[in-house]
Amino acid sequence: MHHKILLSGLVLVLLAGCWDSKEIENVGIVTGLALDVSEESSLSMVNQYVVPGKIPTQQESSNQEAPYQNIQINGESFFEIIRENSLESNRPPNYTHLKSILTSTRLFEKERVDQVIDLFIRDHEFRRTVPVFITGDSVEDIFSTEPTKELFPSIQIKELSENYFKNNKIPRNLSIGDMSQKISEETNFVIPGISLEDGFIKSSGAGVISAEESKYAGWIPSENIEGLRFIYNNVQGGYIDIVEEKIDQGPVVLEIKDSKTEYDTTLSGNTLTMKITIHISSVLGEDWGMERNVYKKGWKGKVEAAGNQVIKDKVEQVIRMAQKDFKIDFLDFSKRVKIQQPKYWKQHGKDWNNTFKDIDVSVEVKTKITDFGTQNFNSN
Amino acid sequence: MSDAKQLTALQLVVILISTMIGVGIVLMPRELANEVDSPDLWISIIFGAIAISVISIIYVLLASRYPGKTFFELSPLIMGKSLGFFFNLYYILYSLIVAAYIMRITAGIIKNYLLDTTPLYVIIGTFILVSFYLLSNGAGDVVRFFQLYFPVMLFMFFVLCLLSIKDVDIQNVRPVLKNDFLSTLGGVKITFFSFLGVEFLLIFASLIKKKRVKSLLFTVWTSIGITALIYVIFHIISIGVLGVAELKEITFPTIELAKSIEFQGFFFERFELIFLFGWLTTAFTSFTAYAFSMTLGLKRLIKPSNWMLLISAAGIFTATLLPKGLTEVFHYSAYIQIISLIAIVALPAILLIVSFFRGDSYAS
Repeated sequence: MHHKILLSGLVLVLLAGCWDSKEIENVGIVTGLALDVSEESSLSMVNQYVVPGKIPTQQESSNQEAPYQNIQINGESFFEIIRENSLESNRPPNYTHLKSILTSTRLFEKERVDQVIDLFIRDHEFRRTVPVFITGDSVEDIFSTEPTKELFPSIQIKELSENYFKNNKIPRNLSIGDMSQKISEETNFVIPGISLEDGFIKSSGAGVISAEESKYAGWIPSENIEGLRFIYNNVQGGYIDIVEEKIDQGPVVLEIKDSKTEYDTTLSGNTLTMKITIHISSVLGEDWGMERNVYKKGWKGKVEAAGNQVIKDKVEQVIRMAQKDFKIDFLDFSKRVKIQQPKYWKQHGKDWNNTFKDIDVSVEVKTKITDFGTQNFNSN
Repeated sequence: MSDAKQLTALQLVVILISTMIGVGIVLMPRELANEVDSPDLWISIIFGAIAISVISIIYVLLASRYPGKTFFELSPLIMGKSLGFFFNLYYILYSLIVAAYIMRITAGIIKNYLLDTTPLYVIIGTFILVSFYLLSNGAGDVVRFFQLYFPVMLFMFFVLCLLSIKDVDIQNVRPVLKNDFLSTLGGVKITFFSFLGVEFLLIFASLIKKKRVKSLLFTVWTSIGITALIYVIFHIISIGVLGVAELKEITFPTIELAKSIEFQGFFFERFELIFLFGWLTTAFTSFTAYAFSMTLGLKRLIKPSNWMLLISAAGIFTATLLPKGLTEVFHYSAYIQIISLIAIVALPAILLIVSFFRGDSYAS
């Protein structure tokens, strides 16, 4: 009996607890990371810490101090910088709840992308799902901008893309895991862009990273993102704006309900041709023309044709951009060729950057209007 | 505690699957991606399953010719005392090495993902203590433990698959069967060893009732089939989510897969922690099976057998701490494969051939 009591006591004392325990009050939770280059040393990093005491509760009125603290430190390596945080704060940074990583175009002009992200995929504390963004503006300014809806700028950045299925100008989030995958596959890719406009954080365009040098290769402006997303086949919604010049009885707006992009590559001899077919299913969203009678057959044809042209122009513009301006394939065409022409890929895959510039790509858009809404004026 | 007298077919299936699925499931995607280097790597698993199914015929024939006899009883019986002694010694060493290998990989994962600052020997020590506590009560309890945790393990893998499906990019899995067939076939070199554990048919033989060859073979092949199915589904999802090029570079792809599951602001935000607990039981069952085989052999080899549990535990503990880091562990795995090839293919095959020549059989 005594033995059992002794044993139970020992078990209670020895097993109740954890070797690696950390008090939650002493953990500095970081919601955002911003990476940049600095003048005096090579790298700079901003950690956005949560300051729990300053998070406003529901009863309190607003007009409070910001519930976050940005600590900016320069150094030669990111690991060093993270450890240097201890010089300013006794709470060691904890990255398990990291919400976003913001990088700058200057950083990737100077340093290789694969080298920069090494720490963030090697360390077990970082998650593969953390989205990465790029900006041409000052990362510190963005992290200090008062967010519109969220409490933290670093979370605001991430949530901007939440409506990506309604607006096609917002690129889809790229997680650091996806980024690492693109780097291992040696393909070029784009990082969603962020910019500061009139004191507001905005999603704007995307930065292209070339695989060969693993460096920043250029910026895709906001208006080209839509074409890019049709090529990536990740359009789920959005709209087609058909301006007055494109259609009589305009302008007309079609709301995209669904979209699917199909690729077809054919090989004749040694020349590759690619055919992209985009199937869009849409409904009539807004109509400024008063003469259209949706209850009579035949009104769709012209609108559909005009819609096709709008999307086709956008997609072709992006393809031209990749082939003529950038001269690198950030459109993931290499993946399609690899799948559809594995033999060709085995021979010419290594030389894809040269081949890509000259392949003949034709785009066909097939828009279908399935619905016209609840009411229509002038339906006589 | 009462000891089990006899295993049902279902119990046998559970034991074999629990032993087969262990550290292989977290390491194989990377090794296989490096070897095959195409999205067809899951086909190699099917070839591996076929190969091991053929090998398993040896065990089934042995088990049915000498019902109720374990490997350690068989070898002196067939080969004579001195040769049989060496067979047993080799098999004990093989069990020790594989157990230590499993333990070290598991400890590496625990250290990497769960307990960052806990010393390695504490992790290994507690793991071995728990396992040997289970072993101290005999085979019956081991079997019951396997049975108890088998559903937990299956559930964990099922949940992981279910939660990963939305991240699967089918373009990563394509093209199917358009790649170099020889390298796909070459993947057998790796997949074959992920089915290590079928040989436990001979270790748990004392609990197996005399059965017809056909029904025993059916049981074994079912276990291999289910294991292969789990592996194949898992690999397709791994390729789909991470891509072949990325699989080559991640140390523990399966856990990274679990780590890329995320539901914002929900309990599951860190799913890999929950998954790790499920996976740890599978590593535990594999480890316990090999530790069991080692103690069983030692008890037969050296008498009196009272201290064999402690000696085995100390042996495994020491062997586990020998490699300096995971790089060395991965480096040793090539040698371990050769050692296990001899233990699970060559030795049983010799036993069977000699037994055919001697013409003796206990099956009446």
